[in-house]
Amino acid sequence: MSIKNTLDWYSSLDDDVTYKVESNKNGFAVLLNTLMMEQGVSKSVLAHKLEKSAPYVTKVLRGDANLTIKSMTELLDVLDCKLHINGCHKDRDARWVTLVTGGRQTAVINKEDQKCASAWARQGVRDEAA
Amino acid sequence: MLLQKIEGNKYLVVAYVEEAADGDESIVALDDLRSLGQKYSGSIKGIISLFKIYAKYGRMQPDGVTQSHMHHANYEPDILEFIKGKVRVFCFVDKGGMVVLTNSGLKKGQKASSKDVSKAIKVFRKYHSAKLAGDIEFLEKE
Repeated sequence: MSIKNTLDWYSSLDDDVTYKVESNKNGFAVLLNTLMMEQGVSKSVLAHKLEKSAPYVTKVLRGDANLTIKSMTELLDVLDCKLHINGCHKDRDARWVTLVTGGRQTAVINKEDQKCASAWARQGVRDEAA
Repeated sequence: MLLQKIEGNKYLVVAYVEEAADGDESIVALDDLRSLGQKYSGSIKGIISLFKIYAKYGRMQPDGVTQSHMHHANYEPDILEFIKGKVRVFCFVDKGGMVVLTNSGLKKGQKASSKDVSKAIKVFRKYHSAKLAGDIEFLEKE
C-alpha cells in the first residue's frame, strides 16, 4: 500500500461513526483515569468500591467496554462525581469549566470575557434555582 | 531512515516507513492495522483515537492515555504497546515524548508476541543508529 493511500484511509476515519464511538469510549476511560489519579484511587480500590472484578475495571480503563448510562453513572458515583451528558455540532468543540459557587474572584482576563462569564454563571444559577 | 508524521500536538506521533528494494515505501504500523480486516474494525479505529489523545496529552497524565491503553511490551530496550481489544500497536518513546510506531499485530497469548516485539526492537535499533548518523527524515502529512 502506498503512503498516500494509507494516509487517505487514516484521514477518512474522522468522519466514521465507529471511529467516533471508539473515541467516546476512550474519552470516558481517560476521564475515569484522570479522576482516579486526582483522588489517588487505584484500580483494585475502585473495583472493591464497585463490588466488581479488577478485570472489569481494566476493561473500562482500556475503553473496551461499551458502557451503559447506568454503568457510567455508577462508576462516577463511587468517585463522588456525576455524569453530564451533552452534545454539540460536530464542527464545534465543547469544553467543561468548573463553576465554584461562593468562591472569590482571583483573575479577570479581560472585560469582555468577564461579562460573558458572569452572564453564563448567572444563567447557571437561575437554572439551578428553577 | 524515513518517519511519517501521523499526529502532532504537544507530543509527536510518527510511524516508521519501510523502504522496499523496488523503491516502494509503506507505513508498516498502519498497513499492518489495515490488513487485520473488518472483524477488528472497532479496535483499529479505537487505537487510532488513542494516537490523537497521546499527541494532545501524553501518557499517564491527566487527560492522557491510561496505563491500560499503553504499557510496556518489553524492557531493555523499552518497547511499548497501544492496546485496544485484541489489537496491538508497538512503539517506542524518544526524548520529548515523541512516539515512533513500529508495527502492529493481534494479541496471541498472555505476553506480547515475541515475533512482533522483535520487529519493534529491530526498528528501535535502526532508529537509534540513524539518529546518531543524523540520517532521519520526517515526512509531513499533506
